[in-house]
Amino acid sequence: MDDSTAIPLVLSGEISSRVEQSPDQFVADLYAVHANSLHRYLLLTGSRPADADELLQDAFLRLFRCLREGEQVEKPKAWLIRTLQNLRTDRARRESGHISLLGNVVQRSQLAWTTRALSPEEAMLDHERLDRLQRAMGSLTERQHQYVLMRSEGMTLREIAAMHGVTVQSVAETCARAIERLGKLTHE
Amino acid sequence: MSEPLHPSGHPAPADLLLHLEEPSEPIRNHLAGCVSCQSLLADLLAGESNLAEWRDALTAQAPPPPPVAALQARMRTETAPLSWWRRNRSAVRWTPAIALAAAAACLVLIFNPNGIWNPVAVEAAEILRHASEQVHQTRAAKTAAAPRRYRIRQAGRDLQTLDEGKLQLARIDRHDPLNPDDYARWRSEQTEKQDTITRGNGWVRLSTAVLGSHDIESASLTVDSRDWRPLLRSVHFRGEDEIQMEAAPVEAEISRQGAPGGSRSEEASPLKPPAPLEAATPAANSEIAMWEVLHAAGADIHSAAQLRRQDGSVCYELWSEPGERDKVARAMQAIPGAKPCSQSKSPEREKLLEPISAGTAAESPSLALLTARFGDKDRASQYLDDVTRQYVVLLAQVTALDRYLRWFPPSRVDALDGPTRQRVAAIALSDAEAVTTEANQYLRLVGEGLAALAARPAPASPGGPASSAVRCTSIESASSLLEDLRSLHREFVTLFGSGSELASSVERTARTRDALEHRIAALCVK
Repeated sequence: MDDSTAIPLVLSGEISSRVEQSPDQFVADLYAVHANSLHRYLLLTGSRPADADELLQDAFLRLFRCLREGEQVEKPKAWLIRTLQNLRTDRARRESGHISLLGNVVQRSQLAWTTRALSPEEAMLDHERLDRLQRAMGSLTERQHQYVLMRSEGMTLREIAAMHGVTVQSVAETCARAIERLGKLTHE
Repeated sequence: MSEPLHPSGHPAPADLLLHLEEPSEPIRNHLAGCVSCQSLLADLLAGESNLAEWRDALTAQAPPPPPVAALQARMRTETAPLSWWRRNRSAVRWTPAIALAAAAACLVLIFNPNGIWNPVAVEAAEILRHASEQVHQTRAAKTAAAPRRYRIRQAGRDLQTLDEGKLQLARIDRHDPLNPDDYARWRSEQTEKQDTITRGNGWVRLSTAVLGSHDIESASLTVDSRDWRPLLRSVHFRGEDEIQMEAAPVEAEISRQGAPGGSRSEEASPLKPPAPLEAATPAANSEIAMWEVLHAAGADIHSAAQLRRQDGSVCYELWSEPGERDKVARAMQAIPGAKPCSQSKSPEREKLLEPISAGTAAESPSLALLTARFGDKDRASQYLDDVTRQYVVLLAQVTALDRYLRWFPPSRVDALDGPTRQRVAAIALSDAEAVTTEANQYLRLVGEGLAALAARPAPASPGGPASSAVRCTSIESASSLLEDLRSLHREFVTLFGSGSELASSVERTARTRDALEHRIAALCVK
């Protein structure tokens, strides 16, 4: 299940009472809704599977603590993505003293293609097209890469802007430039 | 949002994107009557859709997130009643005696093998990290080194089946049981555990014993101590004999390295049973015979002819020169079931002859250096033509190899009997040898151009043909070769054609050339 609309992002009065009554159940429900998407986001931005598992659980646990302490979390998914990024940055700093999400595509994501059940020729063309897109993704700036991945996980431009503390116009421009660049490089 | 319509009268792409989420009346009105903006909007939407497809394709085989039960267990721990210390810490007075006792306890805690600073745990994590990196690098390099067959044994006997529930419990992927990331996940889920590291001749084993009463008593992962390649994984369920999983990609590799538990048995893995032998089927024989005809006539390379599936059966393509077409058709008549495709689909013709534009090239500083090297402009142009021609020849060869290997993937070849497999391999080997010969020629030519720009000395004479071990040539390696080849030609065309920043372009071309050379050298060396 990965339907971002299943739970409203803004905690309404009804949801707030659910949180008060049973925060662990509320967080477990959120996990059921968003875990796949967030896990995928981590893998696509370069985390290894074992690290992604730990980061994901740590982020949800942090959300649980915040809710228990009465903090207001208006948009849980956006909050979780931001927390995941912070946790990952902290971990990388601890491990190597620096972090760089920029790098080649292989560093960003060590996943491999899987092609649909196609004829050999179709599979080859499909593979080539996705490969071009993969390379094009590798040519994006770190910010463009981050924004378009967030958008592909269902975040709105306004949510991305709020998360990064920039204007919605700036996010829209970055995303539009990235999409145009992807289109251009993919069809070269 | 900024002004919805720019001075040009059209909204900016960013505004169109924003309009999708926060509709704007002026933009809506504009879109209704502006075809170019409608087209731009459609392109943006298509771009996002492509992105989602890329994401899905890339993550389709990714492991799922941990089950919610693991999170719930951690949340329960958080909500458990406070410990005595936390409840009473305000009441405890920090006296010198307590401080001394606490310091002593800390020292015990730190230097105890099970304490906070646990060198074994650190080393265990390091082993898993190395093994994980090794596996990822192997996959990223798309080499054929990743083992495809696995053997599961228990008490010295091959296991025919393994319970799915047990696999899940031990975090074992039946298609990739030696995955170190899976082992790391399982290990991280064990709240109370004790690691042991054992070293042998050429191997290191991480054993993890689970403390307390659980279904799994212990598990281990053995890796090659030289390159961290996972060799063996075991899991010990309570009350049962230990189950061992090992890879068998290279003959007797594990046994040679002395990893305990290794077996020389050539029996097929119960995780991935071999497909029934295919050679006896007339269809398989016909397919191989058809490929042999195409290959013998050179149609698979010069005309890019191939076999295709059409209306549920296999047919051969014919779109070569008339004389050659007749020759192929006559040879095909002798093959039972061979029929030409009713519609020969022309493959996507790529820009084989990327123009190294004379107009632009005339202003290119690299071309000036090339002219100086060759003495006059005509010879320099001749050189560029030679490179392009050689690129086309090589591209045709690599594409033919790639197509052929896709038709006979390793899983299919493995299912064939010995003689049939040799027939399949003969064409691949012949293609691979041709690729190596042509590639060396191409690399030499490109090297000459780089030497002209003083990037490096002129290359030595080309290397020999491919070795006879065609088994190492896989679909992945042929595809990668194709990509590397295209990349190099793109760089080369940029270097001599566009007049771009010379130093960086030379560097990129040299680097890409080295990558292709490396790929060619590795094509069939194993």
